[in-house]
Amino acid sequence: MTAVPVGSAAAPADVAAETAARAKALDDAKLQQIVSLLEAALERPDGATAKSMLDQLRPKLVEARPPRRINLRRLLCEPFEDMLVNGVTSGHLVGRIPRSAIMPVWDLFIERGNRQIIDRAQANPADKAAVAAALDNFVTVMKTELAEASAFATKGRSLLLRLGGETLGETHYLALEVMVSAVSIARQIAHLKSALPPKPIREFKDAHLNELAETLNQILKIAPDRISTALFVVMARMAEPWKIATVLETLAMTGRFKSSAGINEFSSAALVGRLETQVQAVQAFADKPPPGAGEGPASSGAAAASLAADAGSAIESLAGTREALEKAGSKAQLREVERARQRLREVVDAKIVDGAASAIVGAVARSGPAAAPLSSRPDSATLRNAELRAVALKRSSAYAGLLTLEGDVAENLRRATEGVEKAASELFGQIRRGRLQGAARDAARAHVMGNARLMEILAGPEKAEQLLMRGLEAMGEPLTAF
Amino acid sequence: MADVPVAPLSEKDAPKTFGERGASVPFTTAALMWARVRQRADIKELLVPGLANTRGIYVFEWVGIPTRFTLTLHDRLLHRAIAPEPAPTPTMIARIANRIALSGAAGPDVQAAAERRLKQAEDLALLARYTLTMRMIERTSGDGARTTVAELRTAPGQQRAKQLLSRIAARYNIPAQALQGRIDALGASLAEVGMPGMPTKAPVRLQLQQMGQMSRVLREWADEGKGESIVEARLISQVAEETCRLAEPLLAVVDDTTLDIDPLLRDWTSAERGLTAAVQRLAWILDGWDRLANMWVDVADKSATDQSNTLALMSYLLPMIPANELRPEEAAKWGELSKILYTQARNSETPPTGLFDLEMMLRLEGHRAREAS
Repeated sequence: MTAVPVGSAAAPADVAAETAARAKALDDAKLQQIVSLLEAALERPDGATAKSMLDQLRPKLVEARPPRRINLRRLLCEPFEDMLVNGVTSGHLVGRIPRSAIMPVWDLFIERGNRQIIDRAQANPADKAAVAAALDNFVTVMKTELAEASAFATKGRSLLLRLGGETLGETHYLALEVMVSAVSIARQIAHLKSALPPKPIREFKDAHLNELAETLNQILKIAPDRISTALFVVMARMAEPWKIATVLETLAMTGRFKSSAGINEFSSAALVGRLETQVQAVQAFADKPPPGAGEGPASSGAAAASLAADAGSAIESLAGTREALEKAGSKAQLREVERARQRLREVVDAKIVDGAASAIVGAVARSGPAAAPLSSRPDSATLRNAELRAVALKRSSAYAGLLTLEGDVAENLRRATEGVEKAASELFGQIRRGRLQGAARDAARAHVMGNARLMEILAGPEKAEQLLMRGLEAMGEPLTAF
Repeated sequence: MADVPVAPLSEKDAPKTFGERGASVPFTTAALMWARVRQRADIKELLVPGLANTRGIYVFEWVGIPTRFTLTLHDRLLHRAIAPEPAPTPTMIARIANRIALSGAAGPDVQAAAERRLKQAEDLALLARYTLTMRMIERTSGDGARTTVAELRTAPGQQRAKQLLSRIAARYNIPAQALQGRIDALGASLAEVGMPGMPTKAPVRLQLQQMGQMSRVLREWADEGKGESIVEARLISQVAEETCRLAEPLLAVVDDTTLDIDPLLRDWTSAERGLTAAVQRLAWILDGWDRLANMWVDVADKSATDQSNTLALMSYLLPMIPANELRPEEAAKWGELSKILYTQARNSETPPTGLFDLEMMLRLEGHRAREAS
């Protein structure tokens, strides 16, 4: 009898992979039990471990969606959840709230808010009246905090320190203002969310426009300065937020809701802010050292491929925003859009296009028989890196025109394709001369396939098949060898 | 043979048997992502649903595929590899697809996944053999003999297991070598499905669990009216649930037969035939669901609109159970589901073009890598 492996049939390489593999096997009941325990632990001071475990479980949670615990903090965030952004600490904060602001604001509320009202809502988060009272209390308490901070310099400094100190205090202070504004019209925002199509909204039908107008008119009566907040929520839920000006125009033309010129300015500013968030995120991603840098050669390729996809979304947003602002924006805003385009161009050029061909051809050379004996298989990580650089370059070709990079992208694609072709020809010559057998033959086949795969990404499957056939011919094998 | 477009597909035109429905093929060409292959007399046919934005299924002669579609490199090799094989089954297609994946034609990630899958299959077969062996030893040894996995890794442990198996073989008048051969063959055949007491959950059981979870999630999605594709979400949820229901008695055959070891040892041929039939039927019933589950996982954290579009696309390609494969008491329920399916006339918003689509190729390769993680 053959030896039997102990434990799992799979042998996960690290803890994260092992957690993922274990999570995959969890049934509904077990998953719910684990999530419920971890969520309860989140609220404790040592909740960081629970959070990291929940993060590791995230792919499974997204797929299996076990019921989540409702808590007051989550309910408080609901009115402004669409405006939350990750990791933004500077620039235009119009209509955006950095996620990092939630905890300091929450801690402040817990300290200064009415204990009785908060406790009642925390104990019964399903009790709508109790939660509404807590939200009202939040608005009252925070309005006072903001008013005092703006009236007295010492109070202002103290609040800034409390919310995030030197580095984040100001950003979180501005975020608190938007939070208060959103929570004060929580009912109207909730109504808008249920009455409008699910996000991202691609089209407003007539009935949706009616609902939107009715809610905006309601807000106009009770708190006219909150109209912009409601519009930020709507924009955040739109697939093409730059079309907000057209929506407002339709509402005005049909007499359903008349917005002021100031509102248009706000929405244009929000568009520029949104674009800036995306560009900042792309830049931050580009500047971040790839995970495991220096360890795995595939990491830089993976970063370039992801960056190329993210840049694509930012460029789509840029094109739409520019078009909208050309009609309704100011010259200054258009200049900002152009600056954003320049920044994106620099990032895409530096991280994706510039040197792409050399990196691809260099990787082929490093993984190929020139660097190691033909009898050993190509280095899979190096080959993967070349593949991902090629994917990034191909992705960038979709938007190279808008960034005025089409010449550079085309040139890199041409040089990379020629380089792979040349490397393949040298490889085939070596194979012919080598008269390979056994393992050496398998290794040579892997080299041929590696080149063919790269050619497929750069120049399409037709060219890849031609290259593969030439390689197999050099080996004296038919195409059915696989 | 000329290509035969059958559009729109009606209940009347629906395949009647699993063979007619064909086996799904893990192509990475966008237009063929839902395609199946079947054998008609001595020719193979490719069945492609969802083309031209209709609910019809287009039928192409297998040999002509490369002239009809711009196939990815991986699919060109897969197409050639399937061509000379006998009538396709899900198990056969999976075996060939893994071989092609091992070549690296779909990239290093899919290649690594194929290597993992191969290793996993070997380990599972080993665990299945171990489980069967232990069950025989426990049930037939009056002294309550047991051997642990750890013991079996040692030479004395293996020797002891051999001695115990020889005693069992003698009791049932089977040559010891033959009993070992039978256990090995059955272990290999049961590896994918697994059996109670195996320390690792087998792929088929994991897939059923995932389908159950997807069914629940989509039912909740429809109940909460999260997007436009409510009818589709509910339909996919119901079909997944009913498919799991059809799998239950087959799993019970496997579980009961392998738990009650005496009848298995007494009438090995007939029991083994029953087990093999159950395993093959399970493979046909579940064929195509891995890709559906992957499609849903791709959009599980995306917007309701993305989810709605994907659900509409998924509904086109639901692996419905062919009428002749159902018992009369099951037919009525499936008939109702078919009616809902064929009266749903919404068009897919992402019609495949037949051209080379790099992003879709990468996405489908991602599915292959994910399945083996």
